[in-house]
Amino acid sequence: MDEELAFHLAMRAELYQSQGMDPQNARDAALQRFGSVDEVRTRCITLGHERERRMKRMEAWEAGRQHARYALRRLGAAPGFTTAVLAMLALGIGATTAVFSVVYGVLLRPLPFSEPDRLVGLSHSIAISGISKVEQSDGTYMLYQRHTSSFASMGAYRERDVNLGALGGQEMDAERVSATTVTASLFPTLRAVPELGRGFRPDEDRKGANPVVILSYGLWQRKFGGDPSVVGRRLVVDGQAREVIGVMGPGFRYPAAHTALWIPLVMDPSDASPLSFNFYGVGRLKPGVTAERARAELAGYLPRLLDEFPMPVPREMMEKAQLRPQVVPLRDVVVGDVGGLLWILLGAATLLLLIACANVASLFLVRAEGAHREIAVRMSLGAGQRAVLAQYLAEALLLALGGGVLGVALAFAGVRALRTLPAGVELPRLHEVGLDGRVLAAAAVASLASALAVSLLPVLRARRISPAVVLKESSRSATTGRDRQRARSVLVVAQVALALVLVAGSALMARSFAGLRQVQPGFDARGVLSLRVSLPRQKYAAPAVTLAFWEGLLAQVRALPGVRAAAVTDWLPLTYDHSDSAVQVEDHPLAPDEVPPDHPLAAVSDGYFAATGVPILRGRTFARADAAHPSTEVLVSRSFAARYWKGGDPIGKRLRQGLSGRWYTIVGVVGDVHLTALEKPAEEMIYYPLASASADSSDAQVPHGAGVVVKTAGDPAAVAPAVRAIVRRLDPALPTYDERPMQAVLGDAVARTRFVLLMLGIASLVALAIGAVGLYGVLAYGVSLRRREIGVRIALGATAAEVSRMIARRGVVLAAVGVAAGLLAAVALTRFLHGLLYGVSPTDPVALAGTSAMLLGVALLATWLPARRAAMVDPMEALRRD
Amino acid sequence: MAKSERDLYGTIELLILKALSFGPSHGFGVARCIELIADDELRVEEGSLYPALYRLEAEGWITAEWGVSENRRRAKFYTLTPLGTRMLHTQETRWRRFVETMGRVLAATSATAPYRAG
Repeated sequence: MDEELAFHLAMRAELYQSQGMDPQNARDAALQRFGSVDEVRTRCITLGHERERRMKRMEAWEAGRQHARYALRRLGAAPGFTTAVLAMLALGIGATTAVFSVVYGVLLRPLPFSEPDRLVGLSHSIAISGISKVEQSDGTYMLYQRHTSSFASMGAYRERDVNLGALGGQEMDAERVSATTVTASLFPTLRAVPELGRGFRPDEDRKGANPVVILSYGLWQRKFGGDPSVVGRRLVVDGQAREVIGVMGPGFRYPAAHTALWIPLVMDPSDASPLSFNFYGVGRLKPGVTAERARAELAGYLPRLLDEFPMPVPREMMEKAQLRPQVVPLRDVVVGDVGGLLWILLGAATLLLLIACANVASLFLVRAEGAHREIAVRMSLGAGQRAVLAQYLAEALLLALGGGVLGVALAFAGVRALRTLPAGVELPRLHEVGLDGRVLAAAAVASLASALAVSLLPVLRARRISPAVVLKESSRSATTGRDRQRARSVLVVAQVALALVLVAGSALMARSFAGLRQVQPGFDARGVLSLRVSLPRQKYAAPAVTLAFWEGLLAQVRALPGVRAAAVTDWLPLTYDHSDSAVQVEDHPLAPDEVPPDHPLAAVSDGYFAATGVPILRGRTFARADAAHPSTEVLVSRSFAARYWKGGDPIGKRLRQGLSGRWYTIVGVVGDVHLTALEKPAEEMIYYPLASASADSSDAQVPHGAGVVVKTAGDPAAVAPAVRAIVRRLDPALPTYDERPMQAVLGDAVARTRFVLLMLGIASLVALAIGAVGLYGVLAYGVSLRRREIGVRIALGATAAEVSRMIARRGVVLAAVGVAAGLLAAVALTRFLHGLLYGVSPTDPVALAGTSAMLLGVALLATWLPARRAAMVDPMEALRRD
Repeated sequence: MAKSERDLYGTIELLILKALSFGPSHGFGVARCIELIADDELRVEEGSLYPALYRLEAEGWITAEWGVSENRRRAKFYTLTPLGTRMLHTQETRWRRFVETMGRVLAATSATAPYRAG
């Protein structure tokens, strides 16, 4: 560079000289004319550097492409190897990515609200018989809202189902949707803003305010076609016209994905029930306030509850109940108890990935073995060690890329499938699950890491090759082969061990599932249809009217052809909808400050037990009653009777709700029913008749919402349209909903267990298959390695059986070691299944023994073929071969 | 001596290419060639000459090679590549079109102007 510039200056100076200048002036003039030499030099140097860099980059890129092209060709020449590796990687990565995306979307991703870590759920812990946790009552919520300063804002809500009627005078099909009543402060607490219209004003949740409603995006699209003019019109909800003031955005689904609309929740301080914990509370902590501090503050104010909202309940009872406020992150509230299930699934997917990787590593080792000679030849011909290694790295990278891409495609399909979960398996926040950037990045990392780790082993070993040694050896040298065989054997043992863990998990789930299915639900679901009807309170204000509706409905349904029995209940079996109450039994008096235990209640019509096949064990069913003369009779379940009068006769005894009010008389005992879930023990419950005398007045108390149970001779679905028609005839504005054959409900009760069983089962099958193939591969290769040895043995007189046994023994030993290791791992890991198991312990010996047997069986199968092959070795041919 | 108003990098590269189309030369030779043809009306800004040569070399329009000059000094000689020849023609055509358009605009009188504001 400098030389070039110097040349230029010299030439210019010469030119000037030839024009008559003297040498000194000529040089100066040349310099002057040129300008700043340094500047030019720097500029040229920078340009030069850039060009160098670009050239180097192009070179590297070219080299990379060449490697890639060559690697592709080599991989194409070994289609079995390539497909096997791609399939394994795709399977492992796909499964892990799919499950991880669900785990991330449901468990890890922050809630879609502004500053979600400031949001907390407000509940209470309580220590009375039957429950340990309660939510908020209107009393506690108002108390906290009045006094506390830890929260920037708070809100409360309650879910319920409502009937939708006409919009703006236009009749629509009556429909039942899920709604949430919310305080006006809830949306501001969540910082949720409607997409259309406005949110609730602070005065709109007060008594006597103008009735309004906010729609969900889903409802708006589905029912109103996304028409923006719906805002301002009046929508009839449960018989009351409400003005639609806004529509929420598509991503807002709180508190549940199926919430269709929000209505203001009116809390009246003068009419509070401070001990009815029916609401959910949400708060937004002020900046800098911790959940613990907030909790302490709430605990400080709670003792004032009965001062500000008086109730005829002794103070000591509240203390004995140990009611304490709890402040938990809102995400935990939303996620609920699904966490365990999801982490287990992720664990299973990871195990699958590990097994797949072990297998891929094994395949790579074989491939490297075959390439041993080739590497040696290439190196002796002058190829640098680096170039050779780069070649194998390129192959590994290509396979990793291919496997990763296929895996992501598989994951995509898997997530789609998971989103359409079978009914009964409720995953919260499922709508937020998708293959997003973070998940894809995790998948990419996983695939690269696993594939590289797996392929690096043989590549690194190849480094230690000295060409001379390799070329001198015969192609089937025992020493190098055995070394690699050892590594493969270790891998196979690992695969068997991991597969055992998966299969053991499946076995445990299978036993749980079988156990659950054996649980007698207590009722006969055959041929039974259930559906729900809900009567709006405005229209059915008088108990007599409501009762007339139910009785009219039942009479007509019973008259339908094919119907054996029909009844009405406000608690359909195996659903969560029910009421509890503190119950005091007359001849079990309580200590002065003792809290009466809680018991579930249900209101049923008199044909209920016949319709559901629940036996009446003692006494009789209810005597006829009507709204004018409501009944004071109750029936109790067997376990209730056993609890209070073990062996004795409960007939004629009395009980009441709470500590005051009317006494009810027990007239009969009925069989136990699992009303909430099969895993939980049958409830100790109390049945009231439809027209039951209310606890604190002389009016009848008739349920407004109930399930209709219809027992048919044949297919329950066949009678459904007729029942719907009857309801419509009785009241056209009433929708029926949740129509299900009871068999399906029973099926759903085991849905969660069945789902986990299915997932684990699939993973186990795949793991078993991979493990078997791995074992087979090792043994088959071992046979080919030991061909000479086998040939010699046979030539020296060993029988075919002895040779087979030799090979088979090796296989069984490998499998046995794997099983042993697997059992240890299983014992350590299956404890995580604890929450999902029913009736079986995580280290159930039957399950473990069965699993071990199955794996050994599979191993024997995998050894059979190579053992046979060994027996068929022709000694002459084997000895002749190199 | 009239100096060109502004030496755009584009124009200097065009001039270099043209100069080299007469045959390989070193940097000084190129500068001198341009000066002589332009009759000293165009003054090559020498500070931009060498960066331009480097750029052209990086693009692959010229190649460079060390050689010996006519007065027995070591110098870097530049030659036009086939790609460079093509580029020269393209740039030349573009330049001529530019000049033509400018001429048309400048020759327009108020009578021939198709649009007038106001």
